[in-house]
Amino acid sequence: MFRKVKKRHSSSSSQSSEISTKSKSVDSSLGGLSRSSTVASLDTDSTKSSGNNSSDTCAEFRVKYVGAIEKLQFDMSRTLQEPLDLINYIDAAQQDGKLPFVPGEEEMILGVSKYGVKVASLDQCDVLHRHPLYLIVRMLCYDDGLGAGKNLLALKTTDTQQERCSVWVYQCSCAEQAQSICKVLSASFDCALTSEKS
Amino acid sequence: MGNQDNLEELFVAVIRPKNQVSLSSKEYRAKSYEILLVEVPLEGKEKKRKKVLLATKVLAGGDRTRSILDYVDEITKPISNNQGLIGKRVVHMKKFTLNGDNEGKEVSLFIVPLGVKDNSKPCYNAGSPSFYCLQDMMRVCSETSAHFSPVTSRMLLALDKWLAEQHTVPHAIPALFRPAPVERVKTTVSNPAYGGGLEHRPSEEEGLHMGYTALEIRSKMMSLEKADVCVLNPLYGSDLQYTNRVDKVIINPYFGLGAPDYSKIQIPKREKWQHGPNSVSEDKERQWVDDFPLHRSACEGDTELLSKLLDRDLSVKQLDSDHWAPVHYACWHGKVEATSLLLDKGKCNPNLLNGQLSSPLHFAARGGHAEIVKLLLQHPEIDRHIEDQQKRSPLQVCEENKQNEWEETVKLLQQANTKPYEKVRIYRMDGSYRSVELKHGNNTTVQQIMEGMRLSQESQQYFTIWICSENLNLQLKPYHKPLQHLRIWTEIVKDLTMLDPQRENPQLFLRRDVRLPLEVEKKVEDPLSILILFDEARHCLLKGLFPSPDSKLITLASLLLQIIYGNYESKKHKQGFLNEENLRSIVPISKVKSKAYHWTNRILYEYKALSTSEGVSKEMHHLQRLFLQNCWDIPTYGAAFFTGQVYTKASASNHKVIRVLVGVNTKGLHLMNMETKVLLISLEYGAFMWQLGHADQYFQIHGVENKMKIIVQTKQAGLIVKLLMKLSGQMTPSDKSLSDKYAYG
Repeated sequence: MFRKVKKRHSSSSSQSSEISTKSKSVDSSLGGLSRSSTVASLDTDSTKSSGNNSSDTCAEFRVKYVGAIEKLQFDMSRTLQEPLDLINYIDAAQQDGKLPFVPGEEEMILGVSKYGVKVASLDQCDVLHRHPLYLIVRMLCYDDGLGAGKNLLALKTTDTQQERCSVWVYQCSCAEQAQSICKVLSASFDCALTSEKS
Repeated sequence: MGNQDNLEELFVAVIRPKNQVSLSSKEYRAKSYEILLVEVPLEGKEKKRKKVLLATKVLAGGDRTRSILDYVDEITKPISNNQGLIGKRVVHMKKFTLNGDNEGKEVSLFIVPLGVKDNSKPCYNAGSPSFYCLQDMMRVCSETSAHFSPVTSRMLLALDKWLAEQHTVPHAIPALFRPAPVERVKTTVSNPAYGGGLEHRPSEEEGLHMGYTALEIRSKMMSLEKADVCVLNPLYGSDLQYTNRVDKVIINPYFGLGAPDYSKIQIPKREKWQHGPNSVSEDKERQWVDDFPLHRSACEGDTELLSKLLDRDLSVKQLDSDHWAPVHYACWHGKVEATSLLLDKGKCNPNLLNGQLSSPLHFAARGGHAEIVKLLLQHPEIDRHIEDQQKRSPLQVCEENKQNEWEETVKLLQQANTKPYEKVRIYRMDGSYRSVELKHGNNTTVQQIMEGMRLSQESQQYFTIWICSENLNLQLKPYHKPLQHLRIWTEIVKDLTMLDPQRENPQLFLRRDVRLPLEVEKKVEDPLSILILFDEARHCLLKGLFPSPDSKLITLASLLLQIIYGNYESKKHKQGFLNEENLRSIVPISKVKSKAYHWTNRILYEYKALSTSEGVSKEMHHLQRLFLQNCWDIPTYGAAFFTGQVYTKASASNHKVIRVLVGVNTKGLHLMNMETKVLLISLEYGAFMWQLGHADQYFQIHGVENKMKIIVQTKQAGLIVKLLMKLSGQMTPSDKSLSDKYAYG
């Protein structure tokens, strides 16, 4: 079930190999913006070890969207600092009918890069959510507890003033995928620290 | 809610399913659940007991979930082998309003779901709660039931209803009894940019962001959001209207001619794409043809069209987008007839410069167009010494380029240098003139003409060149080119007067410089200068421009008699000698008919006295100087005269227009009635102020000490005010640079 994700090469590190295999590299001309590229399975360890290489890498995963609770006031966001509080809050919201228990049928592409998390439609034409890296507070992966072994991904974000927070819930296809997403995001945080913006 | 004592009272319904199956059932059956209740003695009846829901008090505002779970844990220890039951979660069900003692107070009921009932034997402990089948409870439960306290009854009924509702919602019941969060959480990733995140990270990873504070990390991440390049559409929001106007249509000229032979079609080379048949330059060319028909016909030598266009009064001076005039095209392209037509019919200036300061002669010489060079050199106003921007003569340009009949052209240009120059007549006020060579054709300046006048260095400073027609006299500046003023005199007259330009025939005069101070003039001793000054003064006197008392006019008349006729002879100069014709030459024209007859005796008497006076030198220039001496104190002496109109109130209702002469000299400003030559007002500098009116169409004068205010309407207002400023000494150097295009250098 572990999806192959698209990986983009930064023009500096991978350009030469691209050119050697293809007569004309679309990638290098478009830089990190290009979508079509080599498809490689993302191994989080290699992402870490290759250092800056991950800076322009965007790992993509197929997920389903459960729902979101947006713009919670500050005092509420404070009580949600602990991961368990967050799960409790989401559980309660589901029980109250404020959030569905299960996601809709539609699959989406969740992309994680050093720029943050982006959720787009399958054809990548519509971007549904974009969470800039610096506004992501926490990502939480947990079992939905409904017996089917489904894993939920909760993303807590804040706004630029850090006054309100929002909670976004996605359902992963499997436990491994959920773990991968968390690892890639973790790598992205590290990457943002180590890479200098050129 | 209970904030007064900081404790909040609440009820807790601890429920558990009897078996796993009931969780997935869509139908609600109360018998599938057990609920935890406590038995308490019923007041007043020893044996009877009633059951109540668990109730506790928690700190308001604290972690309610934690407190309730701890409470449940604590209270269930006696019934489950001292281990306590751990609730999965705390779900707020509803708020109830109390009756009785605590009327109006609100309490909440929380549901704490537990795991499925295990098979361990329940142990009963008096005073501790125990599980009861929910269905059994509901059967005996009613608002008035004695088995329960009233609050518990109400809450049990509500709980029953709530559970039934939850069963209708998919996933709600499994979710209610799903494991506690702590059992389900798998991975958590927190952003180091946010407080609290760091302490949860394992220590070995700290090296990665060691030295960075949360704020620094956050700003690092924010910088990723910033764009390196931002391109804005400059037209966005500009309100530019979208038009679907077609800029260009290209129709395939071969359309409809059948399939072409593709083997014969060649794709032009890439370099030629830019300069294709539809390039911008061609569009420009087409525009030029439309905008400058005269230029084009001159360029092509289309004399027929050129002639027609000239009839339509198109300006031969107009420069096109490349700053060329038609004559430049004709000369460049060697169009002889067109050049001739432009010079003769179009009266084009043969020395007209283009924007790059090249003359027609340069162009014709460059192209070796001998015929045109000949034509140009024959023109009376040609400047044969003209130089271009690089100070080259036409001869040099011709020899540098060696085009067409350049040898013939060189010969012509060399021959031209030996030919005598055209001359111009410079008149004096007595009607005599001197012909002065025009070394530079119509480019000859006032300065160059003055040098050709052969005056002494001293006298040159008293005089300058004026351009005068019947009713307009303008003094020129040293750098002015008088012949070009003669050329455009019609335009100047239209510009400065209401007169019919056809009646104004301009000539060049040598006249007193209006700026000459009287103190300098009084020291003049050179006989020629005195003669010229005298001639001008006499001319002005006779024209009536020297308004004076009768006695002064009589003295001046007698001086003139002495100068013209020599010494008085009693036989010759009798009473009848001063007939009208003779009077005309000694008294102002305005006085000849009205007064002069009565003066004859006095004039003759003074004439006789002058002739016989021994103290007076009879040398001609002494007499002329004596005449000038008598003129100097006349207010309008040495003035430049302008024309204008003054509106006066003749009566209360109608205005009268008086045509006036405006005299400006080194003394001040003087207004004279143009018809009667009566001096209306004479103002010295310092006694009045002036102001130029709108569009230079009038000027105002105000008295400094009195309330006098006069408005003179005249197109010459600009000239007058500038001259006033100059002669009153108010002109600053910067003003001088703005000097007028016509006069008063």
